[in-house]
Amino acid sequence: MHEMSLCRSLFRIIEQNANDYNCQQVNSITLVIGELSSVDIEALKFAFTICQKQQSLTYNATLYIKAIEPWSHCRQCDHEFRPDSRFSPCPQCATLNVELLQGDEFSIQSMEAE
Amino acid sequence: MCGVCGCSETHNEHRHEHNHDHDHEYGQQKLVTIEQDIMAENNQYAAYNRGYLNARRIRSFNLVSSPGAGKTCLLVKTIEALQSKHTVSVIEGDQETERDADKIRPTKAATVQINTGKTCHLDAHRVGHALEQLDPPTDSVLFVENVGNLVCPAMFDLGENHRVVLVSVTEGDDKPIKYPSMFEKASLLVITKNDLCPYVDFDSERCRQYAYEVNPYLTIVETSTYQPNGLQPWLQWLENQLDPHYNATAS
Repeated sequence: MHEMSLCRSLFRIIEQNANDYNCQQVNSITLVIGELSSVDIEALKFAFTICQKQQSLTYNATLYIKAIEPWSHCRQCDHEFRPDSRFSPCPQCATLNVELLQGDEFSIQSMEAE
Repeated sequence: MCGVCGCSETHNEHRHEHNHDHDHEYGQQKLVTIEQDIMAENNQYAAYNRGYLNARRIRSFNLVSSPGAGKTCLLVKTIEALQSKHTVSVIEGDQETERDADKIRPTKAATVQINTGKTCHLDAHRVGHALEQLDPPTDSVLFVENVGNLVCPAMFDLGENHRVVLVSVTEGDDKPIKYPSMFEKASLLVITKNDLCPYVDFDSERCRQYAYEVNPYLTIVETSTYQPNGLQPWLQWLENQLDPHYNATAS
């Protein structure tokens, strides 16, 4: 997807929070990315390295990524399982009527700044 | 300045609330807890659009597809069929030109064209501005024709009631499993250009099966703008969505 424009959204959030907490320098940023989210992590890391150099606030910030394991629930037989993809059928009853409980997150958890 | 459309973000209703609730200080460095979804910004604009449309009792449909699946043609014929009973407004999205809006305008439906430039999808912020320009009346119908693209528009909620995805028979019946994100969030799949079936290798049943794998709740219709009554299943589905009694029982 648009990792560059996603990065711009990310940096807007960072700047807003840095402003609120009177921070001049961000040392690290921790993102939460589900294993089944549509974000391409390598492309995001690359876009991050470009975006961070655009201002002194984030110039030397380290990016940490916490991966979230996917977990699905079968609406038919109530079984919970770890899916290979968003559309993996239930291993117990083979239905496709499943919902993803976690694993497609894309959020900023926290940042360390001074 | 807004990095999405270049407008100045001074309208306060677009400001988002901060989710963070505390910070720790160690030495001079602080740990700031943020816990904010990165798509939150678009989702907020989408929620604003949804509220705006609901307040005016406007039923809205976001048409998405690959380029060339027949969105504009379907839209022109649809407006012609609906206009005697409903007031229709249209938001058109393309990278460049007003060509699609120019095709819609002869129908007399109020139309605004958004040119996204380098961006390959509509987003809720741009749609919000278009709504301000359009000022659609209460109890009317809004169609948003998204930029032709089966990938990126899937991630951007515009605030619509229904996402309608089009696949033409010339494209291949495996589109749903190749581009699952778009089909997962759709209410309706319209398989278009069925008059061309004799000339292409498209298995409608296989396409339906692939679509149900990705979204078991999808409704699927087949259309042709070149056959008599070729739009009937689509128009019937639309009338159901526009019928307040149908919605009252269905929800």
